[in-house]
Amino acid sequence: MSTETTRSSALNWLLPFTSAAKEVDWEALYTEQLPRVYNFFRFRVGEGAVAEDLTSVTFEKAWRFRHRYRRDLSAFSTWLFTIARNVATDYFRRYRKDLSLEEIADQTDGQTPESSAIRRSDFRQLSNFLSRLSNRERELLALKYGSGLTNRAIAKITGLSESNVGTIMHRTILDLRAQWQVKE
Amino acid sequence: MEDKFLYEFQEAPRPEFAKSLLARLSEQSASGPVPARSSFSLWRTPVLAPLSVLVVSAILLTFPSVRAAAQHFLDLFRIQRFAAVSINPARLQQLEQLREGKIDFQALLSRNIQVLKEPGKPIIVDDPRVAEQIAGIPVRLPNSLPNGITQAEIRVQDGGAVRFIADTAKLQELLDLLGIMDVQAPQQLNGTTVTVNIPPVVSALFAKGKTEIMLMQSRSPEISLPQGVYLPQIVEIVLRIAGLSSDEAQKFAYSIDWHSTLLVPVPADAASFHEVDVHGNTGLLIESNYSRGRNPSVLLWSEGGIVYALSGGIRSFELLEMANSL
Repeated sequence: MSTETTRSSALNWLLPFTSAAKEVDWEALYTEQLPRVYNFFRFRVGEGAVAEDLTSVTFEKAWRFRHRYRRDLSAFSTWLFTIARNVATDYFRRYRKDLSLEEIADQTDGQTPESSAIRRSDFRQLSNFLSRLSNRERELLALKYGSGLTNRAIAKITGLSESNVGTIMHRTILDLRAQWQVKE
Repeated sequence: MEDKFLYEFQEAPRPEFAKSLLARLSEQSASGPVPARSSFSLWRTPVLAPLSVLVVSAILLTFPSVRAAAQHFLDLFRIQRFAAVSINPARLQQLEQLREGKIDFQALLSRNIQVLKEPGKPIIVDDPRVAEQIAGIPVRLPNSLPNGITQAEIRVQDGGAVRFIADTAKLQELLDLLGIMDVQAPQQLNGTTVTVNIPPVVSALFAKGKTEIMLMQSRSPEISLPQGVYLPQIVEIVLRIAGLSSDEAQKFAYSIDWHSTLLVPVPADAASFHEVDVHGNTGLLIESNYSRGRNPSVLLWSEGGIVYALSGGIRSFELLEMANSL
């Protein structure tokens, strides 16, 4: 067992309430994090109004509970994406139980007027592939390729080990890549 | 692996959407900012967390490979109440051999254990508000439960208190038995009285079939020590007993403020652990090395002056989701 790791865990477990609250520049964080959260949901549920709605819910929750976030800024995205994951989980639990894979893929309605038709078509195809993945595989891909998080950050958010994240991701990408090449 | 094509699907949110959401958030702010909580001061007092020691005891006892030895080893920790420690499997085996040789660890480390207050039997309540009234803490329950799992019951157990007196001669005897010859039990500790107060604990049980999840919450317990007790010295001895080398134990013991730090014991061969985020707080997730369901994973964290322990034979991410839905 690594003593450094053990010490760090124990310290960090108890320290949060000894450090004074820090002022957070929410507007700057909003600007930085909005595209990441929005793309997380695009990869999770497809683009369009649903992705925007879930992004809104995430930020509104984060804002409501912002007093809980008052530690180092580097942990902010971890906290925000924990909320985003819960929002996605709630969404799937409440609204998506009865939808078929085709229906899920069909919800990628391409409501971004600036996107080209080809790009929308490609993303629709990608969403179709993503909808065939397991919930966990799709979530990991959304965190990495939608939100641009590192495997380490994803491991922290999901509770999986970093190597486990890498392994699942590698396997999933190989499958996805193969499907994409067949499509091309 | 060619994965760059996936990044190319990222897209900026519509400016109208970004602007309108920011406006809504700003309105929320104008309608009433949430006050920042004051810095919590309890951790600055001589406080450790016997609750967690109890929780970790429970964890350990579920691991077949360490159950018998852990029982006695943890009794020892309960008596000390100073710190938890990583458990070296080889040392655990050595302690087990000593135990089989009829060595009474409990008697080795202290005398005059006095129960000041019995914790009493747990009371089952129907309503979390009743638990709040009894325990004197805000009781939080998860909004998100893994599939099919439902709340089974809530129990409240009153707090307890014990006092004991350290016996360094017996501590030295244990060190000698373990072959730790370069550490001397500090004589100034002899006769030191330690009082441990454990606040009421609320335990919520969730279940589906044989799968059970337990959420425990309590204010932080308090340990009162006489002035002049130098905790790093004691911690160093505990770490040596647990199997750390002299260098490791010293580096560890003297780099942490033990008045505010709890080190959680994890048997290295039975479980792994890592940091996780719970509501923006760093928690400790201890995952059993055994298969799902046979032994529980445990998530420990502290929030708002309350210590939480969530354990169950479910997947780690489900535990995290539960914790974050409180």
